[in-house]
Amino acid sequence: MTTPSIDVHTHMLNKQWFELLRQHGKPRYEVKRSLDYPAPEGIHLDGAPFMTPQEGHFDYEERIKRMNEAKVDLAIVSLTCPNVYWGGEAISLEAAKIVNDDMARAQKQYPDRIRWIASLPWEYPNAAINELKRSVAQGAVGVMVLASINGASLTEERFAPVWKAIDDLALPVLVHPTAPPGTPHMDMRQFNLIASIGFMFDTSLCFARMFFDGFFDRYPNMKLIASHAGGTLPYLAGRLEICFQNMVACRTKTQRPPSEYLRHIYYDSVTFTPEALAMAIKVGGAEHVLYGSDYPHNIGDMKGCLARVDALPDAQRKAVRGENAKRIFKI
Amino acid sequence: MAVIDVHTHMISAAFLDRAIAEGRPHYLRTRTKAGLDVITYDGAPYMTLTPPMFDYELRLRDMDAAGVDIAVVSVSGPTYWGSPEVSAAAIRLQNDDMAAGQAAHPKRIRFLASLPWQYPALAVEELKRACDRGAVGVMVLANILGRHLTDAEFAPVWREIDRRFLPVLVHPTAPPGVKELGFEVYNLTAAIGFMVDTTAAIARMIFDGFLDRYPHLKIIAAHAGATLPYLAGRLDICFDTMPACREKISTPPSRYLKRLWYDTVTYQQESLALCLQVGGTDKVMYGSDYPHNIGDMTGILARVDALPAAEREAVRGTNAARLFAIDVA
Repeated sequence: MTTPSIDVHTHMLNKQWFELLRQHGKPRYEVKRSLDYPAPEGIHLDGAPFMTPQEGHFDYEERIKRMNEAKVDLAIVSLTCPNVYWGGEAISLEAAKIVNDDMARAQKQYPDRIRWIASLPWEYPNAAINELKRSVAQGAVGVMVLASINGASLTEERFAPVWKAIDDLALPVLVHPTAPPGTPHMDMRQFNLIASIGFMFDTSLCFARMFFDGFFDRYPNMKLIASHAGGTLPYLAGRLEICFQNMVACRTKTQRPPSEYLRHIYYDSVTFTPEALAMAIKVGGAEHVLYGSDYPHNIGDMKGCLARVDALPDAQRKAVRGENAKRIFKI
Repeated sequence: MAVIDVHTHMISAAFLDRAIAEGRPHYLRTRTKAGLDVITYDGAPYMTLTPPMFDYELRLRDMDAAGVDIAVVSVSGPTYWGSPEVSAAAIRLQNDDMAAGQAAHPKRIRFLASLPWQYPALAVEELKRACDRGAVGVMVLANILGRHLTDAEFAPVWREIDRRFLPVLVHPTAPPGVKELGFEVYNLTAAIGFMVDTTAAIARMIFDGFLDRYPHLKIIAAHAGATLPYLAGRLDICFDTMPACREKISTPPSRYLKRLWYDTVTYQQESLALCLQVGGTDKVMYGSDYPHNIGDMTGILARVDALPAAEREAVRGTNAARLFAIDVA
């Protein structure tokens, strides 16, 4: 029997969330006409195209149909960027509740097909911890966090209480990119460079900082999933290692080399060549890579990403298709 | 086959002194607690100075020890600063210093010209002068004071480089937004920032159609293409599904990646293999990043030597000899 396929990187939005963002996202996030035909509207960040909702983002029935076509058994759905990090405390919490409640409802409606991971108002740690507990009680199997929170690093002290609460619950966390800090300076308005390149750097920088910061030494139960096959981390693994060896500044907070942390974290399979997937498995280990599709984003691809997983050697294929996800999400 | 190192650095002490005098407040020279001389950019460590950067004799001794025959040297350091006169004069001095290194060691040293890109007319003048003095190519940093290499103001320089069929090493510097990116800790400029800078510059060149405008341009993407080989599939699917990525080009990005050249400055066998797979065996050239603190002539050459025989010879020196027209008979 084939191992059931579990998609750990797949998104759902909600109309109420979208309307709340339209109202309260400014000045940074603006909903306006999109160039990405056929989607009529896109979310822009500081004027740059940033995230284009597709119809599939709002439609669970459509999702299940597509999952059937692609032979994806279970989806662990999450919101995407800009998540709920806008509008001040009350709005941020309201946005989180809207999305989490909606996902909990979907899980009840499709108990064999849907699990979900919670979005939290991270900028308000008390509210975030309360919403974390409420979400877990409603069935959340993990947490989503963006790789930078309005420019702040996830290693900042103010987020520590939230991390502590997550660590205590031993929940997996999908670290998902947003536009990296410095985006306006780098000027990524043209060619959707935020999507092609910017997101990859947000994730890579976030994890590199965590490694050198000794973050994982502080949270022993923490299972972080680095989105998009680790951003660019697998390709840069050797570079991080030689920086650690040859630069004092990289060893001020930890004695463990980046290569150890790279085998400690998890990766999804949202990458688009078999060679890149093989490299993520080589660097992270076959027990640490999880099928993901990025559906229904314009570049999301349930079938293609699954075909690359299915082309792996047998033992790796089973682990990546679903066994690893089953284990870490306790499904 | 002779070993040719296409990514290896020298800097004239006089040029660096001027850079520090003129580069304030962005560039500062400090000494760390560990006793290292470090240049910082916007408060974040940018480069650590090492003695062989200034000393050809030391370099040749290390090249001998590592089994490297020829070094195509280029500047690594703050390059774009000062008034037009100051900048042009300092860069003349820097190129002359390298030309003298090449004249003193004709069998071992070639050099890439630095140019005052922020003053395009002066850059074109200096390009001609440096070529007359023996420059075999050009080095450019991946952003010029925060401006894109594809910006129209630089077109006259690119046209002249294109007309001369010269290879260009696109080498990173700190990307714009160092402060916002929080690079002041853990040397993140070096670990990640430089990779961001090159990747963003070359991805922009691809989507902008820049490479189609300069048919003879030979771009070398530093550090094994930074992260481009790993992201090749992502660039292609963005092209396939996002109209904004097709505004200016009609060929998938992976095809452009085959038109680039790459060095081997990566520290993992699998990354080197992926770079060769994405770029092509005839497009990857040995490079060491010597004498930076993470430069490694010996280790990187060992990874090249571990390649299958046909790839090994191409990467060790055949590709570079062809690209730079270096006679290694």
